[in-house]
Amino acid sequence: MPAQSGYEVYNEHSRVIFLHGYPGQSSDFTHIAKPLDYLCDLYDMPWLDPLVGKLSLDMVVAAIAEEIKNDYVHVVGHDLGAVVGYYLGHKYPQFVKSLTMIATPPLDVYQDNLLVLKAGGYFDYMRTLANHDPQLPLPSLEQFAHLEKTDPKIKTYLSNNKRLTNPFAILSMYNSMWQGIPPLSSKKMAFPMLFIHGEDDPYLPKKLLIPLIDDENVNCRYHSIAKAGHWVHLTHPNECSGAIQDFFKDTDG
Amino acid sequence: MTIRNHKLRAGIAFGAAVATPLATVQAQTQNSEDYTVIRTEGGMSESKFTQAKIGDLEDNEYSQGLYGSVEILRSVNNGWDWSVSATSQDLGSVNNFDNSEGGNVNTGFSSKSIDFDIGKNFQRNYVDLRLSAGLTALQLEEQKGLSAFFGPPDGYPFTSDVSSKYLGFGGRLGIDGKLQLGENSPLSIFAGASTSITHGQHDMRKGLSFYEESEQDSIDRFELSQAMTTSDKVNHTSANIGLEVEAGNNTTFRIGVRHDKYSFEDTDSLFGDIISGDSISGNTGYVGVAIRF
Repeated sequence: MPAQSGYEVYNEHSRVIFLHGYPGQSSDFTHIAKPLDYLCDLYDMPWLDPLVGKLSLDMVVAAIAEEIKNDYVHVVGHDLGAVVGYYLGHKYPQFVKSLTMIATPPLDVYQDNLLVLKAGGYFDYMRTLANHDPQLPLPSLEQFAHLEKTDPKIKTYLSNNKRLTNPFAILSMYNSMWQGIPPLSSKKMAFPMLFIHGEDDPYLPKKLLIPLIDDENVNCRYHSIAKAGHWVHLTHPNECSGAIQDFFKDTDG
Repeated sequence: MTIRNHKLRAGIAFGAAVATPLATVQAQTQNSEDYTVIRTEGGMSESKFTQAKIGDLEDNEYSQGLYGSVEILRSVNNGWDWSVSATSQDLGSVNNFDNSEGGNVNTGFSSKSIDFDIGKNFQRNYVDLRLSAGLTALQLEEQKGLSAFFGPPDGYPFTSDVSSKYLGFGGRLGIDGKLQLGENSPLSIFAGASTSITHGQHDMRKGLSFYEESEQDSIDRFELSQAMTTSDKVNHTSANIGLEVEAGNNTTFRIGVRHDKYSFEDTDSLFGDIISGDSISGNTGYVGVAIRF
């Protein structure tokens, strides 16, 4: 009942959907969502579902579109969830009012600039996951980003989250992405975007965002958080929430 | 601020056809997470418990009785579910009239149980595994009757009737597995095992009627009856294996065998060695049907 009444009350502002990454779960966004004056839908992504044997980016995007139906929503994603949100915005722009990508650049921009920027980190991790044997334990992030200075509590939390993940689902998801991310054009991005980025993120450094930030055709905003790593939504929820609230206020007018 | 938590359902469930359209896949996945299964089984049990108590009898290698079970299983989420089942097993009754010896044997053993457990399911490739833990209520009924029409002493009848009822409550652990025989095969091999330990009360009654020659060469009749209630612990273990076939429309059929063993740890019963012995076991062949919706 509270959800229904909440929907009615906040419908004038539209709702926000939150998409977590890997490792992660819907409750990762609770602290960010609480201060927002919106109806917030936090999704447990299908790579947590123990019954899923095969998953792809297209499947996840189509499922979210089905959830949104004919609504017009703000999308907030972290890591892989942000990648999903990015492709959702391209495939179903009529559903996306705005897109907030936390600690993640648009994947096509990332891939286009990999060789030039010699970026490792997340790219190596993605390649490893795409070719990983699902019968073996999932590889740890740390071996790909030695510079990460993650809070030990966060490390434990992430480790526990990783155990919740269905390896078949997440590996086939990465495999589908590795087989071919559809090339996207920034010209099609009619919705405004916000990039929230931890300055110490070893996986996805700021240089990967520069091409998009500098693109005059893209309506995007950049919010940098000092002394924050890849898990900025967990370590700095108040700063993230503030930036998102301001961004929504401007977007909704 | 209003926060709602959801599960996003997408992907192809284990065992689903790869070419299945997404809309159908979503429906299947949703069904996989949110389902109810009703399973019934019926069959025939056999045991040698009479011989274990009384010794070999003519034309009575095995005693036979009926077996039946009904189970309702309901999914919760993330592979968790709960199950309630009621099982009745009759390891057979023997009512054997022996002309040569002029006697009659009347034995029987049956069990009824109600189980509740919570299970966690694991699915990998073609293997489904369910681990469960829960509670059980067990009722056992046991009967041993022995009559000799012509003595001793010669020409006089002798009758002994011992009966026992047990009702106990306890915990149970179980494991069930299923191996699909190929990617799109409707056939699977299933196997499972469970063990339970119940604490309860044995209500035992013994009646004895016989004649005895006295020192004055007269024949006197004696009738004795005893009743006793004791605390007792019963360990029930069972194992099963069989073949399952998917018949479509969310219906599966099973054919299998199971072995049950009831072990008694009688604490201080006068009748312990008479009624309970160490253990009673039986084998059951059964067929079953399960409907999932």
